[in-house]
Amino acid sequence: MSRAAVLACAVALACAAAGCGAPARGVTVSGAWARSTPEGATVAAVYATLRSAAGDTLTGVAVAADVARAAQLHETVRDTAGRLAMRELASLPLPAGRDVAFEPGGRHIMLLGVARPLPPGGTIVLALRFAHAGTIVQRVPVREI
Amino acid sequence: MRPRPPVARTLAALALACALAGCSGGSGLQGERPPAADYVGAVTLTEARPGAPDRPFTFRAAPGQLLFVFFGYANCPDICPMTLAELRKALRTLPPADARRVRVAFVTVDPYRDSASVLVPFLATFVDSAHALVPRSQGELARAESAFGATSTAARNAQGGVDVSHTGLAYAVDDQGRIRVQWDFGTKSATLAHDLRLLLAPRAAT
Repeated sequence: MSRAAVLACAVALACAAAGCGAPARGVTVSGAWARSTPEGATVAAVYATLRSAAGDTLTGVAVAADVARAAQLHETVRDTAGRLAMRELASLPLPAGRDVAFEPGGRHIMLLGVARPLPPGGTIVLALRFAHAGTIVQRVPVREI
Repeated sequence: MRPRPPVARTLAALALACALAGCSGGSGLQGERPPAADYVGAVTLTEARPGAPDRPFTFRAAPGQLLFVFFGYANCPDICPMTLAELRKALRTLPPADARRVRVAFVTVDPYRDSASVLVPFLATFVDSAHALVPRSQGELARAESAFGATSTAARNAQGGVDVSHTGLAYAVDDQGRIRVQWDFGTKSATLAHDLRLLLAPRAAT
């Protein structure tokens, strides 16, 4: 089974077991939200702020298959011609005690192959995998922004 | 001597930052000064309309109105929705009569995926009556971009998707076909609203 599939399973299992409010084991996830998507959208972005008390590394992200085909860590970068492009991040270090933000215009969690529109007021569930803290299942409200 | 109050210090810092960054000095606009060659009124693109024939579109606002111009694409998860959402927020703070005088002209830089049937509903999520501009050729797009000082790339990738890069600036074009101000990506709604108000004020229209 692929890593993405394992994580997607973890979403479902952890959610069932822990009621989606899993304790963060040293990592806190705050201010998570997903941008609502228009009709026909195939991609979506999720934002959040992560903080690890002792230092950790975000190594992967997954989303349930009925929400999107895949989830990736992305960063918006500007090239030498002044163009903005997205670059996939394999992992993201979380220095001890420092906020690391996914926010518009910076980093985002990219959902690819979005199965149906995400309406404002809805909720999706993500699994974030950390090198030390393990997998954290996070409820993410969908907002119109 | 008493230390200056924080507001005065902030204003001083703003003035300095403005001087350093080349803000539109005397105009009072908070966005960036447009390129010296600011005339785009001769540039024509194809406007796609659902259920109606395409028609030529020229970058010149209707009398007394403004065009908010952006080069982007519908499958853009971050920059394009952020920009359009900030504009929507800005328009909601303007008097409705003024908000109606701002029309969006959105040029797709993704010829692989953005047909009228994709682009029009995408834009309608954010604003009413946007002009969905779908260049007929790479040359047509390049000429329009060049007039605005914009640039982009779009290429199919190995996963079957399309990798897109684009400059991400937004522009206000007046009824003379001139770029009056440009805003970098990430510009907040308060700045957009401030500049739109200023440009829509009667004295700015003369």
